Amino acid sequence: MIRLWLFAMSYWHNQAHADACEFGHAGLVAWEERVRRLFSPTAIFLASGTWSDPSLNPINCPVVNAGVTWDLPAGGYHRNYAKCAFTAAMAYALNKRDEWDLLIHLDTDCFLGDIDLNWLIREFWKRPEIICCAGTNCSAPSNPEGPLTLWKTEGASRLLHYRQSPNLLDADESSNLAWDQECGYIYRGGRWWNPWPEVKDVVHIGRDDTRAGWDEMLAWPLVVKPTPLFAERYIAAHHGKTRPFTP
Amino acid sequence: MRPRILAWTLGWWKDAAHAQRDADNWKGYRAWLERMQRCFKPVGAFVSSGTWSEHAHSPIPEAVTVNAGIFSDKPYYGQRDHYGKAAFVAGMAYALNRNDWDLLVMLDTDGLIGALDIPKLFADFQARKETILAPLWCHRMGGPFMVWKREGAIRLVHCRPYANIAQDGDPDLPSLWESECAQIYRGRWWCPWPQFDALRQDYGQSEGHQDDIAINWPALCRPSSEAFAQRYIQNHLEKCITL
Repeated sequence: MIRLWLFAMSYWHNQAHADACEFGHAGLVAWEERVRRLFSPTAIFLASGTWSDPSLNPINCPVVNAGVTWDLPAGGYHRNYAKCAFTAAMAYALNKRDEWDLLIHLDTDCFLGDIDLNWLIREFWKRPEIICCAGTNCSAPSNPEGPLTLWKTEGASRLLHYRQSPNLLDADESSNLAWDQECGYIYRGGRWWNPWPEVKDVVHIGRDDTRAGWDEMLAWPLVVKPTPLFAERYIAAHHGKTRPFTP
Repeated sequence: MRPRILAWTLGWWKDAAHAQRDADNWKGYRAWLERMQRCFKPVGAFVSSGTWSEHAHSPIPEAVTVNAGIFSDKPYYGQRDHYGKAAFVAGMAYALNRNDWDLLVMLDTDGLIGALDIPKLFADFQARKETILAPLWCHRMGGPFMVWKREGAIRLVHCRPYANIAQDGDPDLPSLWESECAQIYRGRWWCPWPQFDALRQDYGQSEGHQDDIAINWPALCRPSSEAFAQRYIQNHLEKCITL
């Protein structure tokens, strides 16, 4: 039996903000329903890059806080609270590494299409690579980056202990290493398996008025950051196509 | 108001027998926990391991065991496989996921607290702008006794410029841990005892580290002899003003 732990990144400043995270296709309630139905995880949790009061959590699972003080708006290099959340999540999971076999991150606004998760997870389990995810062309072609990422324990360990760049920089500091570039370095040398090399990027930041590229994007195996209208279309187009993992 | 203390130390054990080393003396985990409870009255305590130490074997099961989860396939080497740094990251991440403390206090298991006025020391620290309190070591920041505000703990996890491990033909990590800490805490470090160049007696054995001088240090680790350790303990047991 392969034991899965699932997590997503999330955050809320207060009750109203937490309430706003609750509903909708990309809300936490829908995310929890998706991951429980599709992955049958043994545990789920949310990772926050700052401090999200666990008592306000809209769903019933642990909240892992990075504890960072929110003092400036998020920015790729100087205030990357998402990287803080990843650090906190990896530390939390590695401290309980005897309770899981694969750690999976699924963005709350990620929607899965025609994917056989049973095959995907078991194939990754028997392969030598330690991380499985799609590629991005965010900074350079062929760097690993979500929105569905699977780690073996060795992969999670590298994401905590092999980091090449800080999560937070002071005003007088600089860095040129984007997150996907850093992940490319961390998992270089045959440690990354991309099951969808033909898809160059699964980030949909499209426009509802032009619907440019929608036909192609509707065929993607997964999509993230869709507009609400595209999300409706994608979910309808792929209804029932995602085959769940059976432990 | 008295600050809420979360106490921790670095530690590791490979099996039950290894976990019991020093169980009968002042360097053991039980003695460490008793020191922390007497001096600081912590709200909690944990031992942070850079690899994996089974909690079931912990000599102090009432303290949490935090594991960094590195697969220990090579011996410790400070500039390539630094399990101590991994334990620091794991410990800070664990602490930052709790919001029931004001100051995070680390004392090495072979560290002793001297004739300190701890309430005054901590009040002074909390009134200052710095985010970490630590002694000197070789002109850098070092142990065996360190105290963090939350902002200080945040920096040790999220402002790290270097990895804990180097692999695959990587060059050596470019910095000693103590130098990295100096970089992380530039302008944020308070050393209350700048007159002492270290609080560990194994460091250089230079002038100023003899027993008759070290007996007055505010904290001590790696004493010159077991006899001196006992003398230090006896000399300071009643003099330390605890929280």
